[in-house]
Amino acid sequence: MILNNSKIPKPGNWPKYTPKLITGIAIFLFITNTIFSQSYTISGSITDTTSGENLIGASISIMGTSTGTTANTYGFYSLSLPQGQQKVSFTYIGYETITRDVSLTEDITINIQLSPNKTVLEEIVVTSGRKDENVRSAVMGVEKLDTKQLEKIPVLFGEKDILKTIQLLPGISTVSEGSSGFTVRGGSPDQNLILLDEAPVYSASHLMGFFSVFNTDALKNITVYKGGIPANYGGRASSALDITMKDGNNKDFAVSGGLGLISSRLTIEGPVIKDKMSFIVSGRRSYADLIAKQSSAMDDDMDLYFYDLNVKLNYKMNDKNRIFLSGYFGKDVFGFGSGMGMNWGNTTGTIRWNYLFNNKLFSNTSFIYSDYDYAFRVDDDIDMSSGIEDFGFKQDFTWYSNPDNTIKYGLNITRHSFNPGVLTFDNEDSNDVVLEEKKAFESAVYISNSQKIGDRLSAEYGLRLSMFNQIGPGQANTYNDNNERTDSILYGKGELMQSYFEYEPRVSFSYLLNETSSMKISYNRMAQYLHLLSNSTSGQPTDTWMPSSTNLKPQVVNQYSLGYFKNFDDNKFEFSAESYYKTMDNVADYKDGTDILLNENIESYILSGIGRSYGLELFLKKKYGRFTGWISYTLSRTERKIDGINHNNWYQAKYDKTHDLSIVGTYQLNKRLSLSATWIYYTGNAVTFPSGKYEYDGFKVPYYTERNGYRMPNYHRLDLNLHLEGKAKRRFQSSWDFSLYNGYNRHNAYTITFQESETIQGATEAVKMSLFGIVPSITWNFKF
Amino acid sequence: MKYLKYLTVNLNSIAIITSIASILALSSCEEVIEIDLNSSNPVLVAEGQIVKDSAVWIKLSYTNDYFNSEDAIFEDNASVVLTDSDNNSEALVYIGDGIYKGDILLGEVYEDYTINISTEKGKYDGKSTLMPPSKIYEIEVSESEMQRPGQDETAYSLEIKFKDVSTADNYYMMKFFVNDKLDSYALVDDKIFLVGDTVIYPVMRKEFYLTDEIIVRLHTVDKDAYNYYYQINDAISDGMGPGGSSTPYNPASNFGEEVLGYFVAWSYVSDTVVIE
Repeated sequence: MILNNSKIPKPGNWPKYTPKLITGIAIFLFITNTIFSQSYTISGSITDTTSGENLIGASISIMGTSTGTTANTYGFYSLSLPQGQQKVSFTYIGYETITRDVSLTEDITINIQLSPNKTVLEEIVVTSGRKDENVRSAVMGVEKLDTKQLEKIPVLFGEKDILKTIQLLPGISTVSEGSSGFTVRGGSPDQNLILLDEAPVYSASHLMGFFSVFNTDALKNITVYKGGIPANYGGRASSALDITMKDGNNKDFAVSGGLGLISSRLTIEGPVIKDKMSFIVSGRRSYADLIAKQSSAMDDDMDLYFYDLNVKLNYKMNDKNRIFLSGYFGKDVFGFGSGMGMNWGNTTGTIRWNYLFNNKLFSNTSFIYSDYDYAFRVDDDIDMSSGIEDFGFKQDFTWYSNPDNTIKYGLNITRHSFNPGVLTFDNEDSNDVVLEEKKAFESAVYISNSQKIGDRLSAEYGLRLSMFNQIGPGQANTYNDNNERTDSILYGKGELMQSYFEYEPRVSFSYLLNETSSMKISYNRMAQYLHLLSNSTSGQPTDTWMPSSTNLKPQVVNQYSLGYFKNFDDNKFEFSAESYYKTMDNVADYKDGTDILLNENIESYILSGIGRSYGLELFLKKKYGRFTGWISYTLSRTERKIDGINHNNWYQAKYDKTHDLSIVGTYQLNKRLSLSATWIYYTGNAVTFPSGKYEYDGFKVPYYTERNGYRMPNYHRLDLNLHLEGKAKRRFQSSWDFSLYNGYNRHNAYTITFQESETIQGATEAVKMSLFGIVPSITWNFKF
Repeated sequence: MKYLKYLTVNLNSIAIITSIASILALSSCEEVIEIDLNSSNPVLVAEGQIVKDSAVWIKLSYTNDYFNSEDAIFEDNASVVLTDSDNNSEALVYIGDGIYKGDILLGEVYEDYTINISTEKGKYDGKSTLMPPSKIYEIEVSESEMQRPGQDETAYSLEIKFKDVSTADNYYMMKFFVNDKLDSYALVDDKIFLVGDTVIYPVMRKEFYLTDEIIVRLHTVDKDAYNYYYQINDAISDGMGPGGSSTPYNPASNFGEEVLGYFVAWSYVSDTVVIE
C-alpha cells in the first residue's frame, strides 16, 4: 500500500494490520525472552592474532550442543549460557580453532585471538563462520566473500574486482561484457544497495563500468543479500551488498601493493597505539592513459585515469568504547585538451562509535556522508554538473538476550540533496540551465530477531517501517499527456511536499532435515524511494538520481523464496537449490525518445508499471582440498508491464537472462603454484531489433514491432589465471598472476547495430561490435 | 533543450568511445553478422512536405522486411487531399513511384496545412504549420577541438550563425549535405545560444575534412516536426545491445499510430561552405 497524500501519514493511515503485527512481534519476543532461567554471559571480541583485524562471522559454539553464535561486523560476540562448566569453541575458517573450558558462575569477558592455519592450503571458497552455516542459518539468499578468494580468480586486465566476482554467484548477473554493473534476481542495477562501511556508494564503477571502485586491498569482508534481506537493510528494492573495510593492522606496520597493466596500488597500515589504535591508507591509480600516450593512441594533452583512496582509523578506547573513522575518495578524470573534459566520483565518510552497554547489549552509532558528482567542461566556458549528497545518522542495537534469541533494532535517517543538473556558461551570451535542486529525508525504524526454536527450526523475522519525505523549497508539477505542465504548487524551504510510508516485513525460516540438510523459506518486502535516471544498459556517469515525488512513486518489491541446502563429505561440498518469485510495483521506464539529460520535466516522461521475476538457482561448491571452486546456474525470467510500452503487453526486461552459468575452479598444483579458470555462459540480453524498415528522407529507417522481442547472441568466455607465490624472504612476500581473459578469443557481441550496407547498394545489414578479444595480463603483488 | 543532448551526450559518447579505444589499443572489432529477424506486416509509410512558395507532394509506400533488399511497395491507389487553414483544398495527383503531387496551393508562412490520405485500409490526417524562413549570417570553419586519436587527417567543425525568426519559441532542423549527399541532421532550438536575435550554433556532433563541400540547409519547423526529426535522428543512429543506449522505438507520426512517416510544412534557406 502506498500513501501519496501530502501530509505525514498518521497511524490511522497505515496499513490496518501494521500495529497488530508490531504488537505481535513484541509479545512473541517478550515470551521467548522470559522463559530462560538463571544464566550467565560470555562476551568479547575475536580478532586475528597477526593483524588484530576483527574476524567477522567467527563462530562461538558450545561443544557437544547446537548452541552457538557468531561475531558481528565489529568482531563482538555475546552468548548467554546456563550456570556451570562449559567447553567453548572459537572457530573461523582458515584459522586454528581455540577451545576453552569455562566455569560459568558470573558474566565473563573472553577476548580471543585466532592464528591463521598455515597448514591449510589457500582456498577459493565462499567463507563463513562455521562450516555448515549455509545449512543451519535461517537466512537464505546470502553469500559471503573473503577478499582472499579474489586473488586467484581471473579477471579483465588482472584487476581484482569484487563486483565481477559476485557476478559468478547464482542470481547475480553482469549487465554487459566486462562491466562491474550487476543485477540481482531480475532487479535493475540501481536497485542494489551498495554500502562501504555503511555509507552508500551511488556509482560503483570506474572507466565506464569496466572496473569497480572497490580496491580489494582495503577490504575485509563482503556480504551480498539477494533474498532474506535482514530488516536493518533498506532503501533499495533488490539486494544489499555490505562491504567492510579493513581496520588496519594494530600489531605491526605492514605495506602491501601491486603493479598491474592498468593500475598500481599501495596499502600502508599499522598501529598508532599498539593494540588500541590503528590506521590503514590504501590508494590505487590507473595509468592506462600513460600507456596509450606512448602508443600514440592518445594525444599528449589528453587525460584518462582514475584513482581511489581508502582511509580508516580506529581507536579502541576501552572494553566498552571503540571509534572508527573511515573514508573513500575516488575520481575518474577524462581530459581532451583545450579545456575540455569531464570527471566524476564518489566520496564517502563514516564515523562510528561502538558502545557496549553491558555484555548483552551492543550499540553502534554512525554518522554517514556520501557524495557522488559528475562534472563536464567544454572549451573552458561551458560547465555541466549533477550529483547527489547524503548526510545520515544511524543507530543500531544488538541485544543478545539469550542463546536462542538475538534481537536487532534501530533507526536511521538520511538527508538527501539531489542536483539533477546544472549547465552554466562563462560568457553572457548564453542562457544557463539550472534544474531545481531537490531535498528529501529518508528514515526508518526496524526490529528483528534471530531465533532458534527447538533443535531443528530457526527463524529470522523482523519489520522495517520506512518513510520518505520530499521537502521544499521546490515545485510540484502536474503534467498532461504532452508533457506540458498544467499546474504547479510552490513549496517554501522545509515545507513538506510529499510523503510516502512503507512497511517492510522480513521473514526467514530454516528447518533442519538432518545434520547436513535443511529447507528454508523466506519473504521480503523492500521499498526504494530513489530512482536512477538512465537510458543505458551498462550505466553512465551522467546517470542521475532523483527522489520519489508526487509523480514518481516508490518502487516496492515483494519476494518469496524457497530453498533446499545440503552439505556432503564433511562439509567439503555445499549444494543449494533456491527458487524465488518477485513482484514489483512502480517500476519505471521512459516514453519513446525521452531526453533524460537536463530535462526539467523529466517526471512527465517516466512511465510506471509492474514487473515480475522468477527463477531457480543451483549452486554446488567444493570448499576444501587441492581443488576448490563452484558451479552456479540460474534459470530465470524477468518481465515488465507498463502502460504505453509494447502496446501495454508484458515484455521481457532488458536484463532478463534465461540461462546463466558460471564454473569456477582452482587447482593447487603445489605450495607456490595454482591454476584457476572460470567459464561463463549466459543467454543474451533481451533487446529490441527491427522487424522491418522503410525509407524516409533518403535514410533507411528501422521499424520495430515489439519491445525486447529479440535476444543478443548467447555469451560465453573462458578466463585463466596462473598464480605463483614468490619465495618468502623474511617478511617480504610476493606473488605473480598471469591471466588470460577470453582465453579462446570469442567475439562476444557488445552491441549490434543495424545500418545501410556500405558495399551493397540499397541493402541493410547487422553489424556486431565485440569489445575484447583475448586479453593477457600480468600482475605483481607484494607484501612486507 | 534538445541541443543539450548533442552537446553533452555526443561529446560523452565520443569521449567514451575514443578513450576506451585508446585503452584497448583498438582491440574491439566489428563484423557483419547473419541474424534472424521476424517478418512484419506491411505498414503504410507517408513522407510528405510543403515548402514555402512551393506545391505539396507526398510519397506513400509500405514497410518491408529489414533484410529485404527489394524496393518498397508503393501505394498507388490512394486519395490524397491537402487543406489549408482557410479551408482551401486540393486533391493531389499520382505521378508514379508512390508520389502524389499538388499544383495549386503553394506554401505560405504561418499557414496550417492538413493532408488527408484515404486508402483501402483507412483514412489518416497529418497536420503541420509552415514557419517563416531564417537567414544564415555566417558559417565559420575551424579545426575541431577534439581530434580522433591516432588519426592524421585534421577534423574541422562548423559554427553557424543564423537569425532567430521571432521572439516566440522557435525550432530549427539543419540538414548537412556533404559532397552532394545528405549526411546528417541537427536539431536546434533557440533556448540556449541566442544572442540578441542571432542563434550561434557550433556543430559538435559532426566532423568535416579538407575539400568537403558542405551545404547547410536550415529549416524552420514547428515544435511537432522538430520532435519528429529528433526521433528520426535517434532512429537512424542508434545501436542495440547491452552496450547500446536507449531502447529503440518508432518515431511518432503525425498521421497516428497506424502510419509511419510524417507530413511537414516548412521553409528553409541554404548556404555552402568548402573546407580548405
